[in-house]
Amino acid sequence: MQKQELLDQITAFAKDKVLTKQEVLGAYESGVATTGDATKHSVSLSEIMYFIGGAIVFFGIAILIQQNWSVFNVFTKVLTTLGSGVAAYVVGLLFMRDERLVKVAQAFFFISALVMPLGLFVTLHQAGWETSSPGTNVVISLILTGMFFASYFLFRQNLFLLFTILFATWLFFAFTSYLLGPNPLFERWRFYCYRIVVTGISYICLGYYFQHSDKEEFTGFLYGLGIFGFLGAALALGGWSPRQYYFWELIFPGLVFGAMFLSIHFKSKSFLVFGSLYLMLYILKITSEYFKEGLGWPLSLVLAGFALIAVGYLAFYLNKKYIETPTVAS
Amino acid sequence: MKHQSRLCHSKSHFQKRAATLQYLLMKAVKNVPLIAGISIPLAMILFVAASIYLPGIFVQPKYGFLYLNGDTSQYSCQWRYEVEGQHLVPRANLPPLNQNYRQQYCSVTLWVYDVRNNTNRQVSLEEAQRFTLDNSPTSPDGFEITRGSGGGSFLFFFDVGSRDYNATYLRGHNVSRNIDLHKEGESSSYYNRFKFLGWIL
Repeated sequence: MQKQELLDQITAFAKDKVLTKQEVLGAYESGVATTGDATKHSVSLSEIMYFIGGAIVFFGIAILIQQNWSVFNVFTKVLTTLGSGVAAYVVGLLFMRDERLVKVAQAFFFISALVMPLGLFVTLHQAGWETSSPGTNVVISLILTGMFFASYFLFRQNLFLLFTILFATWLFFAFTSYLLGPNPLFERWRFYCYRIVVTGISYICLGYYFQHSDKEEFTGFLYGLGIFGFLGAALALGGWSPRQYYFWELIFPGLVFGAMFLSIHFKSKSFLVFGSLYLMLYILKITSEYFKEGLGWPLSLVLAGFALIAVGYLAFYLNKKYIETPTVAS
Repeated sequence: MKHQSRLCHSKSHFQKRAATLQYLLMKAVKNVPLIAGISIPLAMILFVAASIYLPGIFVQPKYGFLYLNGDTSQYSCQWRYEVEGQHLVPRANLPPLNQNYRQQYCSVTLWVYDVRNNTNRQVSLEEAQRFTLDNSPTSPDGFEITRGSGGGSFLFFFDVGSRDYNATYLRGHNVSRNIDLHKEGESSSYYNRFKFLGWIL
């Protein structure tokens, strides 16, 4: 397609209102990002220090409130926690107005994201709510998800999107717990596992979406956490003899090999690393569960050892041949 | 000439439409992982809600039961109750130690749970003895009485709250129905003060 044709096409789409200015600019910027500055998304030392500082501030507030719980009155408790969270958010907004201080603003938003849940817990506790109940957790996670999603929409800061995902995950767990209550319909630990499987799949889907957008920096984190949770929960669902679940034990090798081969398609080291580690764990689990008695423990260990060497070599081979290229999603 | 120009115009209009359609399709395909990422957890929420509420509409437990409320520990009771030959039989459990103490701390009441109306009615021993009872743990229509599950109180990934161990459920056929039993005494000992005696046939 010629340049003029493309511009005509954009004009036609804009006239039909199927294309917005932001989408055109987004497409342009993502093109510039892939061909231009490759280190654009790398995290600098100063950014790391900002976030470590933010985390230390959070721990400081948490320890302050814990040590003085009996000394502080209700107002001071709420002011120290929720007040600090709101103040950090407002300071972040003020810093955002100066382009040179955007990174510092993010550090304050980070403090706000860590302190705000603590503040809401303390506030609701003082209001007489039972903080460990699923209902309270639904309310808190819903407030935080809504707030951070709205902030992302308004300010387009990736940090808000990251915390929207994390708070929405909390909301998902809290709401499903709230729905179930003390109902004994599902075995509790299996219910955890199924929810982690679903969260893992969701993270992988989101990671794939971000990989093909201008937010590629989320991909590694979402892929890593997603596949770690998904395979871990799938392995746990298999149970242990004599209370094992054959379906999950039989399907697990397929899931692991699927993850390892997806690592090639996604160019993701997380899939390969966690796939290999979980395959090793599975070999050890199956060996000790079924072959310890028949073959004997020493021979089983020898066979498991050889199998682990084979898995290690497979991971090395796949990484070398298909993944280790300049553009890796990690 | 005019016809040719109209044909040309309609051709370009068609091409434009096709390009628009192709663009929208590409945009939709691009968004499939995002839609899947959001809708999979939502689908699980719907599935959990449906698993809890839907089966209860179609499957209803039919049999109520007789239970006692009070100090169910036979070591501190003068009387214990058993079902023999499908009828309630009070058995004297005369204590070798201090009889007065045992009588004092052994106030037991008999109750009937009405499964249709989810209500409880206190009955006398004489009335209770007239019921035909089945004391097996599972009712003739396949339900059993279970206590509520509990979880931890960890933040985030782990179950939050749900520590109502005193909740009681009728469970069977993939249905789990919360039932309100008569409770008295301290809330921490509700479940220990409940003793199932038999399904009323």
